[in-house]
Amino acid sequence: MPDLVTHTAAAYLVSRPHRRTEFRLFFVLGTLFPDLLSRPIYIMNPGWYPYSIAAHTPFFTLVFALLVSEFFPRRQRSWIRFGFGGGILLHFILDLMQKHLTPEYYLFFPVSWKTFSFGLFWPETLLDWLPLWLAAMALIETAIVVRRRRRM
Amino acid sequence: MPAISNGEPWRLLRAAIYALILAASMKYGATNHPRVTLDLALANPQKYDNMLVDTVVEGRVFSVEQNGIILRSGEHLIPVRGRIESADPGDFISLRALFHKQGWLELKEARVAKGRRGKIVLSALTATVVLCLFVRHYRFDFRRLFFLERRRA
Repeated sequence: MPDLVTHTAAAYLVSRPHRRTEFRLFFVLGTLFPDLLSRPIYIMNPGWYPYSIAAHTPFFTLVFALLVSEFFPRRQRSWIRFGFGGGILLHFILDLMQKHLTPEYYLFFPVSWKTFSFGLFWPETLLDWLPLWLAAMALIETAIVVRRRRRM
Repeated sequence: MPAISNGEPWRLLRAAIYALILAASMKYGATNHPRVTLDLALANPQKYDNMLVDTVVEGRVFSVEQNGIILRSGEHLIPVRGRIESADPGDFISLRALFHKQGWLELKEARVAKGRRGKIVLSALTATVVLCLFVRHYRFDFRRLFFLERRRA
């Protein structure tokens, strides 16, 4: 996985045009779900790794998003699911860009154990690009503030 | 129940079904995955003798030896024979290797993940910030079992 700063920055950049702050928040949360649900399991205990395999799949994270959305009022559920789903999709798109020594992403779980990735960069490579993501986010927020002040 | 169901009698049943699906898929993933991991091989050395295994998670270099490294994986210390460039004690490492029932590995392919520690710290910080933002916007109503927006709650 790329680091969560990269995932969050990507989710921020993709969802920023949406006016509703809450939608953007759910989009960002959705993009964190696959790693938040799976990584702590084996970071705490590598022996539990097999139990984390399912947790880092689109199927599992989307069902988890459905579960979480049940704990929000009915009128908000559809856009919360949309936000979570978009974030989850973006997460796996970014993950597929990475290369690994061993097969990592079981996209078709539980139907198939086939794996697939584009293998463009190693997981830690994007750490060097963090300043760029942060600068892009700062630039966009600054531009929004400046535009608002001009309107006033 | 009326307060919890909040006009939706099937809501908690749906949530329970989703939770069951999640638990079942975790169990299915753990028991049916195709990977031969080091933990599996160590638990049954005879069965996995001379098979290709991968140390997929959180394996670290314990020490660097003349003919390889000592790998720390969980509580295990496992000798790995083969040349690994730029490995230092404490580095995270992922590798594919032949497992030998005597408890050592013959290296086929390795990669030292130099920035992994920083990545974990940054990721944990980011997750904390996002979760704090969520808590700032929402609170949980334990009586009705709902997240409610703070400004409307």
